[in-house]
Amino acid sequence: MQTRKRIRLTFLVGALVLSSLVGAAPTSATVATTPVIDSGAVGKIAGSGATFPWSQYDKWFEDFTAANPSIFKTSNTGAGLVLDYTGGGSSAGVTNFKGTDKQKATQMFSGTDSVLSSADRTNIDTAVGAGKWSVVPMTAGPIAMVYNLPGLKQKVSASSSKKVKATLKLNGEIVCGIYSGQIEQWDDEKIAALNPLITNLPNVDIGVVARSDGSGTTFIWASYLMKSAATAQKACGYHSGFTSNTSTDFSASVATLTPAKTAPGDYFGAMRTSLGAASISGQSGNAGIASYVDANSNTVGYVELAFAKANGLSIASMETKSKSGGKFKYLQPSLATAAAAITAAAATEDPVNPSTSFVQPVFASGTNSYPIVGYSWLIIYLDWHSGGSIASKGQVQGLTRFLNWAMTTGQLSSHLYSEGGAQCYLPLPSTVRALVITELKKVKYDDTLLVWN
Amino acid sequence: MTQNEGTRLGQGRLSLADPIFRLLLGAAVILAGLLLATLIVSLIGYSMPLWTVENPLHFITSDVWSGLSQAPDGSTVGGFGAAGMIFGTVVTSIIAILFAAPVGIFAAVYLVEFAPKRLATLLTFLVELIAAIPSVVIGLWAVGDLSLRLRDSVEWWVASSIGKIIPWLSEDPAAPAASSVFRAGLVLGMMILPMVVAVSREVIRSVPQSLREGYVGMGATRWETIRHVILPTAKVGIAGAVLLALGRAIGETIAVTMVIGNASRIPGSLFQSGQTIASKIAGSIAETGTPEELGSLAALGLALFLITLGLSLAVRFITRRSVVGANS
Repeated sequence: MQTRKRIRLTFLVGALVLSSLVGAAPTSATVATTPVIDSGAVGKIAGSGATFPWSQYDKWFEDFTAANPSIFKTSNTGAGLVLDYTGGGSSAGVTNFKGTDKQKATQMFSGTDSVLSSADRTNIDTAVGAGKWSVVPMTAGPIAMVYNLPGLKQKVSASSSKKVKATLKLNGEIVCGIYSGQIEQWDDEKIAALNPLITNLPNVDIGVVARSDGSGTTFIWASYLMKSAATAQKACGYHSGFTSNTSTDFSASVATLTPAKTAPGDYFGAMRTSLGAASISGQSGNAGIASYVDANSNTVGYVELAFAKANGLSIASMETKSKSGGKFKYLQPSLATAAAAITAAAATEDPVNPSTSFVQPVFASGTNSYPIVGYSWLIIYLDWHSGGSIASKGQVQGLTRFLNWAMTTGQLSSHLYSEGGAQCYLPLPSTVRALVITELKKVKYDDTLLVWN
Repeated sequence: MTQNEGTRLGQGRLSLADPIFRLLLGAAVILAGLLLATLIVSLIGYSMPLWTVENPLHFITSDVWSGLSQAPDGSTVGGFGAAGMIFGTVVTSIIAILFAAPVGIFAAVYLVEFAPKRLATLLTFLVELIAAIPSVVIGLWAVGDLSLRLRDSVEWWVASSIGKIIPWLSEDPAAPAASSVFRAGLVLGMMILPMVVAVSREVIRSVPQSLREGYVGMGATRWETIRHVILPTAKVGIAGAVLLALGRAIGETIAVTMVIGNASRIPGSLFQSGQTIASKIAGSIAETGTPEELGSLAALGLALFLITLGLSLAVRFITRRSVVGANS
């Protein structure tokens, strides 16, 4: 009797254990392995760079730390691992990545939204070692053209006289005209022609604001101008035939399209002087532009969607590349329109370790594709060696585990940053995620690959 | 003191103290001089890569700061033109001084000559407190609130009156610029005002009472006493106060970068965005990838140093002349 009871008990316990294992199986279809973190891992895991994805990274840090409270802490690097990221612009991120603090706890990864130039690559190869670093996409998002025109009204239709709050429509040609100084006032005929229903475009100078730091957001935006203004405005000057920005017109023949992350204030400076247009104001970071446009009327700027929503700025509807029924459509940036753009862009190369000729998925075809969308990357070190103030193994394991989580669970919509009900960042396509995880598995510490299980 | 007393003091155990003391003082001076020399030599060293792609005259006269990029034929194009920054630095400092000097000196005169004693003590304390406020706090106040208020009041008054005649003070009243050189100058002026008041007050207070009494005794009014006796006597000290304040204004980074608009060109009007050297260096230092870029910022630093040097020499020259004139 006793033995049978014991056998039954064992069966019951075994069944319970098995069923709990089944129940605990990951519901997502992606990889279930994750890097092992040695016990006693403490320290900061910090990086810097692009401000475009900052809101998303902060949300990921919060959610991931909450999901792993035993190892990851929100502060107190003595008790566990603490994730941190500081904006500073894509240029600063690249400089820090190869700078004197590389691979220390304060500089374990860098963010950039602009494709690395060959000069950057050479410099990083020299500083870090060829093949010992990788550029992995983390997220993607739309850039909103924001403006501050209080009291802008439009007629409901051409025949009606009833007025409602207006939303400005813009296209690449007009944005290029505004930033290069050819379009100086809000009631310019080109803007009016695109917005026939708006009744009160003011007869004042457009207050143009752009990034003053080397910015990946500028790079994405410049890529858009380059493609959308390719014929009318000779790629808005973003081509290798535009030899210097003392060129006072865009009539040079278009050579290879090359967007730049240079501050538009400097890029278009000489052209604006020759046209007698006021200088472009420069601000640091997406947050800087957002607060500037918020505080000053008659201004226009470009920011990632998260910042536009967080500050409650007016967002322009951008013209699509494709026509529907012979007419262009005008889209607001959103999860749907941006995701459609990424799919339609169907890049000839994957965004993982993009070559110098990679073009951000801007101005994609399709009538539901929002035209200004870009990937944001993290540059990571693949080869770590202990010693000096270099980050410890636990910190590297922690970073790799976080990045793996960001590519799996982190891509679910509950972990994507949204503001005012609008999701501001996109999940990456599953093929891209798998490629990123392949890169993550290459991380070595003291010449041994990290253990994943 | 008689001759005998003098020699008696110098004898005995104390005879070594003087030379040692002199040596220590001399060493301190040499150390300060060495630090300055090292600074200049380092700056020049850092800036050397720039001079391989840029010549100093072009650097100072061109206002196109575009950085270097590669042309399709492989040559490097673009350049670093600091004229916009130099213009911004000089102009904002001049505006700051034009605001702070008269207001500061008159405030100091009031505090010393006219204010009731208790009020004077209280006001002096407050002024010194304000002088101690960090620049970044004032910059925050400026960008959050003050900038817009200045735009809608002072800027608008100037633009709609003098601005109609002078093109570089003009502005479209319906669309005032969101950031301007003029406003940066005013914010700077507000920051250095307490310093001017505090130092001038000390200087004016140190004018001997006997001079004042003598003049009043001859039948002069308060205003005449101030104008003919106190201010001329305190002139050198006040010039020193103004120079001190000017030095702070020229190097001011945070408060300026928040309101000036970071546009590296010479603006068409003082009511448009501009840029100063300190603000540019602070903004761009994080992104210097190449030795040429670092060199350009070091060259800007050298330019700033030379501007400060030039201004301080000029002030010295002016005050020396007036002192000589007063004595002769």
